[in-house]
Amino acid sequence: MASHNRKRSNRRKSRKNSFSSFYILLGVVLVVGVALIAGSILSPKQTVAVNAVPAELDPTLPSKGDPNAPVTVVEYADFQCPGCANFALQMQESFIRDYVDTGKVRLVYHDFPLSQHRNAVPAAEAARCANEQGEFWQMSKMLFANQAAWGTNAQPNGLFVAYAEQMGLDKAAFEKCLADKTYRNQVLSAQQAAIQANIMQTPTFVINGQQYTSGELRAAVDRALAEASN
Amino acid sequence: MSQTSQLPRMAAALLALLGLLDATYLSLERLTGGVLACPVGGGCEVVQASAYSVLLGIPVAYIGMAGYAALLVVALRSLHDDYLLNIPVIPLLVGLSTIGVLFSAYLVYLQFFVIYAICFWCMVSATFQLCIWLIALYEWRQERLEAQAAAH
Repeated sequence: MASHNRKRSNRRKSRKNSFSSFYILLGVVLVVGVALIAGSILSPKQTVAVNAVPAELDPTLPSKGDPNAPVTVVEYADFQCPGCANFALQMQESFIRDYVDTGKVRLVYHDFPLSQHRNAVPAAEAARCANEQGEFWQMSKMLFANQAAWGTNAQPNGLFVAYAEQMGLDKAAFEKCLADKTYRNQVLSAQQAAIQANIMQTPTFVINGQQYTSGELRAAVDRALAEASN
Repeated sequence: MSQTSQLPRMAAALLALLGLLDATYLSLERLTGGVLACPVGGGCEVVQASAYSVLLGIPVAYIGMAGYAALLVVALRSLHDDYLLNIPVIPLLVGLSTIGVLFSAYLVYLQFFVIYAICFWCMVSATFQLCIWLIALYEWRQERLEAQAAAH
């Protein structure tokens, strides 16, 4: 009986020791975990990076504004990205009014369909098919506004045709353009160019080879304008 | 109390803590991020923005936090006592982790076959759930074997 008790108390003692080191381990995991999470949530996402070689701009990219404007902003965007929709629907209009319509900025739209967005490539094709009929920007707005409807649709082209019809485009020509995948290769090479330009997220705005987020855009344009006027 | 090694239960508690941190991260990402930008290869942003990231009005990430917190409490209790609120602690762990693993399997199915995007941290969570469930089953079996041995 006595030996049994001693055995039990020994076991309890060793268990106590292993428990305290276990709780220390849990505490360390907790502290490290909370620190990592806080660091990742609180720190602004690093986006500003200088491209070693500024990518040569494809002249067929849709653009808006004076071709000789002192500053060119290239927006890398994905029609299925909620962040791009947020820019297009909340901030783009005032940006165009203040900078593009006043001749200060030429805004170029560069497709960057992200791999996780299954309908981003067909949407980019639809925008380029609308571009054929001179309505790129209107279609782009339509796509961003209706992202939730076509984003997870297995057959998004039907919806794209409906948008084109609603916009008063030549339906037959638009439909044929989509069906023929006329712009598939152009969209895919734009995607490759974006990867090569080290674009890490959409939307990314590139001014003189520097990358900016939508929140940094206005200040960056102001700086570039000040530099250009010197 | 079980005389066998405490290591599996410790592992279950550690996994539940890691799962809780993972679910906390996803919850905070959901609250703060996602609207302003889409990262390259960011499957979580798609999955979290999808209609399936909310169940009965509650974001799945929050459900995950609650589930892991419950698993952590039960796993820690199992190190010290056989009962929690008069419920046998190991069967409770088996029950909770079975719900967790079934829920995770549903979320993995959604990612592969419905949303067509994979969220890395959601897959990590599913792996933790599976491991906790396997440990709970193992502990349950050990407990029953011990009870049988004691009866003889």
